[in-house]
Amino acid sequence: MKSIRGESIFSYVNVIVLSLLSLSTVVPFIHIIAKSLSGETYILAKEIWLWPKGFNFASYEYVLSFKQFYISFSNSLLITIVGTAISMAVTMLAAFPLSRRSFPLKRAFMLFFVITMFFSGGLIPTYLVVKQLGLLNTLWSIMLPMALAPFNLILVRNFFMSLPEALEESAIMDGASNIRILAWIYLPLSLPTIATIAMFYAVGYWNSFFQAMMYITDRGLMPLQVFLMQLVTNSKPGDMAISGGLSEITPESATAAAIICVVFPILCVYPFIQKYFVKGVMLGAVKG
Amino acid sequence: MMFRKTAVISMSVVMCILFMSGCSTGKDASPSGTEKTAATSENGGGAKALKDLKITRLYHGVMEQFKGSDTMNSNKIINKLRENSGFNIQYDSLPNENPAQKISIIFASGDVPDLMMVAGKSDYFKLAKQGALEPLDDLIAKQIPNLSTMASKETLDALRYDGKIYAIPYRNALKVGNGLVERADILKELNLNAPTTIDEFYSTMKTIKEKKNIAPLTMATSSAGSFFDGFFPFSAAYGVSTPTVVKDGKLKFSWVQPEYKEFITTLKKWYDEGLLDPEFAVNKDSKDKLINGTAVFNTLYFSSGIDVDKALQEKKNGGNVQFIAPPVGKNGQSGIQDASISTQYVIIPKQAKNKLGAAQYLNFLYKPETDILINYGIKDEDYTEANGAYTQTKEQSDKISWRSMYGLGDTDFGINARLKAKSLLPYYEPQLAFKKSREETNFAPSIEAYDSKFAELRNYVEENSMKFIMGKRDLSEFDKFTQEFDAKGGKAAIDAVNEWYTKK
Repeated sequence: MKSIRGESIFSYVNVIVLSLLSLSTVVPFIHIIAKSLSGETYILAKEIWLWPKGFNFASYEYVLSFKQFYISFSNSLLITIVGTAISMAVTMLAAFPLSRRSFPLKRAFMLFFVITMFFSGGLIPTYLVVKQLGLLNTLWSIMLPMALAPFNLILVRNFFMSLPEALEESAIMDGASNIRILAWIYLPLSLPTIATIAMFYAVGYWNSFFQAMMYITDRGLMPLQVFLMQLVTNSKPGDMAISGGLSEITPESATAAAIICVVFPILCVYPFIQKYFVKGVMLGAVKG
Repeated sequence: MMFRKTAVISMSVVMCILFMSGCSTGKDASPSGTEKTAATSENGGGAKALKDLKITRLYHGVMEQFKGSDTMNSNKIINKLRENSGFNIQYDSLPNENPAQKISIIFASGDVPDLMMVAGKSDYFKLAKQGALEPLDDLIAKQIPNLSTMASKETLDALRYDGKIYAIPYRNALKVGNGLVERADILKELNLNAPTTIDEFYSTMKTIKEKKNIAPLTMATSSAGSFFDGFFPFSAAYGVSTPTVVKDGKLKFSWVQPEYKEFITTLKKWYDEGLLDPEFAVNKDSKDKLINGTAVFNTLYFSSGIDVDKALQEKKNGGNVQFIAPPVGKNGQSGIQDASISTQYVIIPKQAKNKLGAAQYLNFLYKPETDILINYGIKDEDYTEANGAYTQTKEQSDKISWRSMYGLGDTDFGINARLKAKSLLPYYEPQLAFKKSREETNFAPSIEAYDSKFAELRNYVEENSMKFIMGKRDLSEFDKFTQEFDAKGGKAAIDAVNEWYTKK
């Protein structure tokens, strides 16, 4: 009896704490949405909290009137789709051999990957490599240098290692090649893993900003995050270093609208892979 | 078996590579690739300028305004610039976030443009020290005669490193930045005139407080540097608005002078009597208090005046703001910030392929005809002109609002054209007549001990000033505070500056 009461208190506390946590992430979001739908006057007067005043869509019209928005949007979409595909292919093809017991140089390769998690070559050397490869001012410069995240590689490898060896052995008996084992047995079994890792990569590519700033000068190749940043930093008047005095100031409502436009597409992806997520969290855990 | 495995693995690798190179849709060909005609001709010192010219400028907000098929390197203005200058110019832009990092990468990679902008004195001197820049004395003398309209001898001399000039200051034509603003309608309603002295300011605020029960003066000083920017019109009345002041032929930090203590004492009095917004130190922005009528006085950037006015018109109560003269102190001192100091520079990298062309193009940009082109556009298409009077509608201006990104320095003529197009002249012009405070160190070369410590020292003074005003630190400790300031590097910094100043 006591234990049941304890449990119910625990679940009450649980519900309260988790509700507060989720509120703290949702409220700023609602605030930005409210701002994006409000009249600029009310924002200047700081009257907006969670409900818009002076309701209008003008700020969205403003953001969507920029040619650069569409250019950047399609760039980001392309980077995300192609980049994620490349990253997934590379990660799977690296994780599979590294999870095999029979693979001789396993440790050396693993070390080789893991070292990059702790040490980087530094900005200028990396830039020079990208330049020598002729990737400057191409979208490849955003996708290729960071195609493999060692952390994700370790996750996938551990998951592959947790699958029973008997599966592989029986497949070898039947004369299946390595590629076939990976494609027909391991990949279907690791759908939750694939979904989770793909999500990590996709969000990473969608938010890629720093590489674009470094490697890309052609404005026709700018991703969405760079466009957003430029709109946002244009919203401060009198910042001589940036505006050179007199440039178009972005209204605050438009800044909010731009944030929504940039975040919304990637948010749309979440519901579709929600069901895999629940399983994906158990990555490498004991199978029941 | 083993062989088959290897074969399969290598096959898959090949497949993977093929797949990656196969989906090359991501590679847009840039609209106009520059042909490298430069490769064959002799570099530098050549007697002929090359045709191709690459310009990398700092970010400018107007770059976002291209519409339709216009892009930065393909539109009617840049076509005209190419036609008139004879150079095949290509512009690109540094990011507006941390441009210095990108600049150092560009120099490290050796892939430099022919003309480039850098921001900040210390960044410029760093590049000059590294030997990354082309000395310009000769080029200026032979190729850029029009420079005299853009840069005074004093500003050029301030950029000398080892006796040579390595940069041209990007002329800043704006002379007004932050100014003191009042809600004119509220003063009128209470039958009050705009206060002209510090004492009048106090009594006016007292009256407003009695009748309206609001704190008349608001500020937003939560971010670094904003305390001095905001209270500038008031500290100027005590002669301590700029970081340094000249006393007995030497420069001294104004923050440790007895006058600074007087200024802080006054603010403390205002704060204690409820005349200064009690939230001034945590405000991020104070426009809302002007709009809502919970404050009457504030310091605003001149172009924000129009935003506040618009907001006031849209709200039912109406009203308007006006920039007023900064209050005069007991010794007749007053002033607002001098915004005309340039902190951006145009340089020619040492490794540039077309140095001569770069200099000639600059000279072309500094011609009056070119200035008209980049500020008004093309005659009879974007504006009309009769007997020296230029007429341009807002629509005409908005169509080519990106035109000013091609300039490498502003003229008064140009800035007036753009202020007019944005209806900002009523907020800008009245402030031209007000006194501006001059900061001597703006004309100094880069002085390590001063430049590297400046931000830290300023933040320390800001923090303590706010503590003094809000009573979190007692004003009797002011002398102790000045000693702390000197110990923090204040003394070393000012001594280093005086090395330069006394020899000037």
